[in-house]
Amino acid sequence: MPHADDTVETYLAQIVSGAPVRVTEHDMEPMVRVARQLHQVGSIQPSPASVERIRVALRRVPAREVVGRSTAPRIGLWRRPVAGLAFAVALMALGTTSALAAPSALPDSPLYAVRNWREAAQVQLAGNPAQRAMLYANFAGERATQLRRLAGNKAVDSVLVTTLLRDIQARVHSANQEANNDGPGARSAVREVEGQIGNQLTEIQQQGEFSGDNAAQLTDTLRAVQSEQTGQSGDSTSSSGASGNSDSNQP
Amino acid sequence: MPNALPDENSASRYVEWLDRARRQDRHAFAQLYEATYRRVFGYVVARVGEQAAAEDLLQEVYLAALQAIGRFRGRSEGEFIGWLLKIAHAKVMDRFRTQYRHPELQTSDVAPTDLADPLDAIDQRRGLAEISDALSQLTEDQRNVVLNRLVLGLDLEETSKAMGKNVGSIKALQHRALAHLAKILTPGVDDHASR
Repeated sequence: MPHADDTVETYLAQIVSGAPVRVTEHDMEPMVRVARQLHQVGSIQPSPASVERIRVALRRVPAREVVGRSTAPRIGLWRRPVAGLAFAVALMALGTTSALAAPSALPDSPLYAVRNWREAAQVQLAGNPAQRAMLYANFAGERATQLRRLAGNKAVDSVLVTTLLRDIQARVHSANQEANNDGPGARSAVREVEGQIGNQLTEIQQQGEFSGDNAAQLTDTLRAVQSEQTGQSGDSTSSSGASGNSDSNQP
Repeated sequence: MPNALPDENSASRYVEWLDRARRQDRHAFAQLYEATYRRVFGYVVARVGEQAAAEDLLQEVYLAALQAIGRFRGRSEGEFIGWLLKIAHAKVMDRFRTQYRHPELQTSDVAPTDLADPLDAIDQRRGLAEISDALSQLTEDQRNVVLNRLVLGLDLEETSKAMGKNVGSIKALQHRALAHLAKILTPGVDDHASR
């Protein structure tokens, strides 16, 4: 109804401009009356006191205090301690679960990142290079043990194996760096763990459970571990444990 | 939402105020407040239907705007008013949600202070509440078109730009909105526009 739309527009323009409105269409009177009422609403002003109150507030309230000022707090005051307590409990539960689960987490788990973070934190908190060296060596050893267990599983994920091997290699390297910064005692202790790691990797290789890229990566990692050992056993601090064969220590 | 400015001086003043306000110049923000609070209040009071509540919300709107002005990228009066009205809309919706969840917290009506006759105050109060309720029953587009035209005082072109619709659509929309409001507010009136 274009004509009616135009007529309404004419009345609205008159109302907004303040011109007198003479309604000729009887059925439009209610609409014009409503339009007048709405226009009057637009002329309602805030009280001078409130206008001044806002002026003062805008001058004095620091910007950072404005945050969260609302007539509608999202959480009622009495609920805040309860919500805070619930959040803390949930956080503790999550933290405890993560901390407990993380040490054995595998690379295909979201907790593997927590495991890495936890290990990095432990290294940071260690007091000297010898402690750091042993931490790195033990972290590598834990992964080697996990890899040996996984080797029997035909459906083991190739990416998981790749990540574990890469991390073993990285940690063995870090362990040697820290051990070299410390001295013969640390190097000897690290070498022992490297020997255990080398044995586990050799067992996996002999079982032939890995094929393709994983098999090649396993060989590379084993060589790297043995190379780290060889590099240490070649110095003046070599000891009887240099071969690193844990089986040889068995009665 | 108005896009046109009365003159170039006014436009350049807004640009300067907005630039300074973004750098946390309180005096510049105060100028913006003085230039805009009447229109923002008109919108808020039409939506909540209570003078006192609208005054509280007006303060919340400007304090929130002060907090967020650094992130505002507009450079004109129209953009600034449009931004303020978005904040106002959010505050109004917060208030409605609170009233829905906690009806016991609904503020009591306070008579407008500038009306000498208490009967006028009561009439205005009742009328405001009725209009606010009726506006809530419109579609968002219908509500925005009558608020733009009759409360904020925008003309047809300005409303068209503000709402991103052509003039013909705005005319049809405001006709339907007024017909709907008339039907709600005037017992016995049919929805003229739908016939």
